[in-house]
Amino acid sequence: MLIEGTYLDGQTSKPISAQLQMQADNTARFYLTREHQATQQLTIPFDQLHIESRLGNTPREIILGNGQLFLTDDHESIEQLLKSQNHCRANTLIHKIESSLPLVAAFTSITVGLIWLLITFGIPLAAKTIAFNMPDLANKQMGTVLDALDESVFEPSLITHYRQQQLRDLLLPYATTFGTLEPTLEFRKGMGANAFALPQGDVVITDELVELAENDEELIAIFFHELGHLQHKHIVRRALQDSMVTLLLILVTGELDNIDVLTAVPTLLLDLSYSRQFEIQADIFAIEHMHKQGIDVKHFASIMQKIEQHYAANADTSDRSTDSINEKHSAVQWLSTHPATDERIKLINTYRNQPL
Amino acid sequence: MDNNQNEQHQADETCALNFEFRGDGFEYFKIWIVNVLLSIATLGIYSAWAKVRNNRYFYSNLYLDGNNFRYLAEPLTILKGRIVAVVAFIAYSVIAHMYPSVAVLLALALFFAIPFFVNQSLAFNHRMSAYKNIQFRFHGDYWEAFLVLYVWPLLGMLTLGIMYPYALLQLNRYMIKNSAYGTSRFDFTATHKDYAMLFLTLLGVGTVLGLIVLAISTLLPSLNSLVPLLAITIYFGLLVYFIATSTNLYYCNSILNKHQLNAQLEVLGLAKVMLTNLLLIIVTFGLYAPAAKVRMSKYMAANISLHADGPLDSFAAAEQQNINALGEEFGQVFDFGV
Repeated sequence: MLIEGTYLDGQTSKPISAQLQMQADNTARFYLTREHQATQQLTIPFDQLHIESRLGNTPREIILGNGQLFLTDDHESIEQLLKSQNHCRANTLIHKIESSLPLVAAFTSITVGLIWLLITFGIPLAAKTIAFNMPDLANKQMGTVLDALDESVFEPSLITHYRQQQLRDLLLPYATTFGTLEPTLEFRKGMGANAFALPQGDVVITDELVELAENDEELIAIFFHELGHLQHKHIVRRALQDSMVTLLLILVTGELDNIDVLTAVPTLLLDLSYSRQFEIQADIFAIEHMHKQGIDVKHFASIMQKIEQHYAANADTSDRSTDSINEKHSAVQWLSTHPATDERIKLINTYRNQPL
Repeated sequence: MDNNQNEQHQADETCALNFEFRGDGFEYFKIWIVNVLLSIATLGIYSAWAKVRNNRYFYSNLYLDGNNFRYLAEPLTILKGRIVAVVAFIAYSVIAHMYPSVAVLLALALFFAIPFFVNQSLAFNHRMSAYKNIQFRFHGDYWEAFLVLYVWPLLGMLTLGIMYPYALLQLNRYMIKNSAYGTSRFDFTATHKDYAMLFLTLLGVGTVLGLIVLAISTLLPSLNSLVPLLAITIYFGLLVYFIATSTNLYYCNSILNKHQLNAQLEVLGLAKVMLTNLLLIIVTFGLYAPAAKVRMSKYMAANISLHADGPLDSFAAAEQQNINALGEEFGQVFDFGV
């Protein structure tokens, strides 16, 4: 059996046409045909050859040692040669998987299924486990978020100290119920009618939101929603989930330097989807604890509607903030950080009709 | 293979040798999906093997003058580099968290180490690329890399972009002039004028189109809803123009001995490949990505050629040297790719 190919000596870039023939004594003999020269022979024991694994239809590479190379497109003969020499199976295993349609179909469905499972269950579960076992030290660093926000978007609150103290007194009993979260109430101006929970326990309510609320119960509802974020460590979990999604995408795309629009968009969409899940969880938390405290959850629904109207009215003048407690539109659901107001109110009504 | 060589031997004058990418979208999909699953299932360990297999596919299917390129890296080398880089990254993050002052010093050290790692990474990648069984080489210099990575881009910023074309020229010149095929050095002949023209054209066309859109939005307010769409189209068009023109500049000015590289990317052709790739990737939830990469490689190869001055048979190999994959993997984990 003669295997036709090309020989390259690794010293110069001149290809030489060559043939490979196995000899009876388990040596491989290469016949090199240079122009205007007699055929040269090169004999090498078979076990000293390094035969590269097969890869698609690319030429099969046989390394002779000393950087010499024999290339051939005669894949059939090489496979036969390997078989006759009882060569290690691993060499061709990956190629066998790659060239079997049923196996590729199986690999594709398992990969798609696995990625779906990781995104839906694996990553959220892992992030939750880490977030609840993370030492407090790690959270302190993130606590400087309020300082950063003060420097960038917030202005000092214009609410009178008297009113601020009134509101603190109002929310204090609920704050002490969750003393372990160390919630501290902060008032700031800026970013529209909004409320935030920062990982160290700061609950920020903006002046606009305080003005929007018609009664204490509505503010309590907001406070409970934010306490829900704190209780469930949503900010830390969202950061962890985002990093894990990025890691998963790196594994899928194979290279870090491929990070561009194509990977940034799915990362963003997943982040938003996680955000909406956390909002629902915080809503449920608020509903449950309002119920426990004997506060009618209709106040939660009413403040939510007011916020939506507030944003609808300001739609042309103010930008939509990414972490507002509500969005002005629900037109493109999967582009929002928060679920549609209708759905959130529907959720509240379900609880009102069927108390726990 | 032999026919091509004979034809080339017979030609005394220069002849244009086209690059050709012989890969196939579906064939690569099969290789890629197996890589992805094994990488996830082994928590990333297999990714080193996956990287080698992916790279081998793209190198080995790239042909010039009837001969293919090869990617030579060993998966274990990549894995070692990757492990060291990831451990260093975790250590850095932990230290940055616990001792911010030490982290500042480390960041400073990293800043000065980056040119070194970039050179190492380029040297590794060049050495792991071969054509006709002769490896490429990269002979980077630390301070030259420092200038190209930090000083010229900073100057570009400080002069509000006026010096930016110069910075890009210096970067490309650094990359090409320090590259070698075996013992033969590449040369780079682009001038400041070439790069200035590229940016002036971008600026001019961008300004004119921007003014037209502005005029439309003020004179015909009813068409206001079209403005974002127009803006995106213009942005994408200019981006493709930049990619095509800078790639052409890069190759058309690269010379190896007397052999001249040449690239003829066209804005429309490139835009068509990019847009259809993007669309197909979106509708297939990413499963088209490997085929898209193959399609782009085919397009690029078909538009790049080498004007060979005589046969390509007389290049000699450079001496052996060992470079580990640390620089390359450091660059990926710490995210400072060139």
